[in-house]
Amino acid sequence: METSLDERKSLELIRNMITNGKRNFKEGSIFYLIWGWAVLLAGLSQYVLINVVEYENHWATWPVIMTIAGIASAVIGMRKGRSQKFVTFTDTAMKYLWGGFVIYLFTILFISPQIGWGPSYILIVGMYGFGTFVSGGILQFKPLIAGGVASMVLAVLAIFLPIITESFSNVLLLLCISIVISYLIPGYMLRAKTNNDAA
Amino acid sequence: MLPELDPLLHSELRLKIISILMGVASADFTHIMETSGATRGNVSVQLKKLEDAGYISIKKSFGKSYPVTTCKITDVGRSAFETYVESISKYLNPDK
Repeated sequence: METSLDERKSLELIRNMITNGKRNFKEGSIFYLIWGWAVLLAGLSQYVLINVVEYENHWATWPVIMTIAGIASAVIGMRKGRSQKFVTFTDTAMKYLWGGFVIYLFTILFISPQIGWGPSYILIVGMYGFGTFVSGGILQFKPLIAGGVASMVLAVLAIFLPIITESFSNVLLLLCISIVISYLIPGYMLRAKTNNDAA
Repeated sequence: MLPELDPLLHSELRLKIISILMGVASADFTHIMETSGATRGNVSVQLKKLEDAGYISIKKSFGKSYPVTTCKITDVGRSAFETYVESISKYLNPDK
């Protein structure tokens, strides 16, 4: 059945339908928490394995923790995707942003034997700072923007501070501090805001 | 002289569908049906008309255990929608 319209009704209908495509974008806080805790745990455990246990393969916790975080993210992402009835432009922007980050991450990991693990970690800190900064801009959530800026500044400072570049353990501490600032704190704030908005 | 309105868009349900798709990157059949408040059969018929005109693209896939129909507005549809909005604005403000 086709119903014809007058012009005023057409405009009202367009406005109502477009408004329906808005979503609470802050639902994605779980991914910041998963990756925030995963990187923090992996970084701290590597620090302990180097300085306390003095274990030779101190990097060993990274692949284990990252794989678990990757599986958890994939499962949650797929479940969300299945229950999602529409895809917003924000969803698409985030997908490409973090997809690009993953490609960059693997590139850095690939060249890390040549450039060294310390500089690699610093580059990764700067890059996830950049990702968080852009995400914050897309979601219009200031703590993410601030966390992203902080991580980028830390990465740049680290390059010029011998105390960091000369000690891999200090690079690990920098990584842990930056992940708390740019993922965990904004992630918990985002979750609290989501819960408040839902209440 | 006032412009002629696109007859394909100047119909309540088709305009609802195009408006829904303008606001999102893609939407599935259920979302369109629930948001527009129309019946499954009616939505189906109008989607086909919009697809035939090249205003939308339709992709069919399989979800967990059910088929999923995902719709997306095309560049042709986006441009037709923009022209339509411009035209109705002229109807509402003929002096401009």
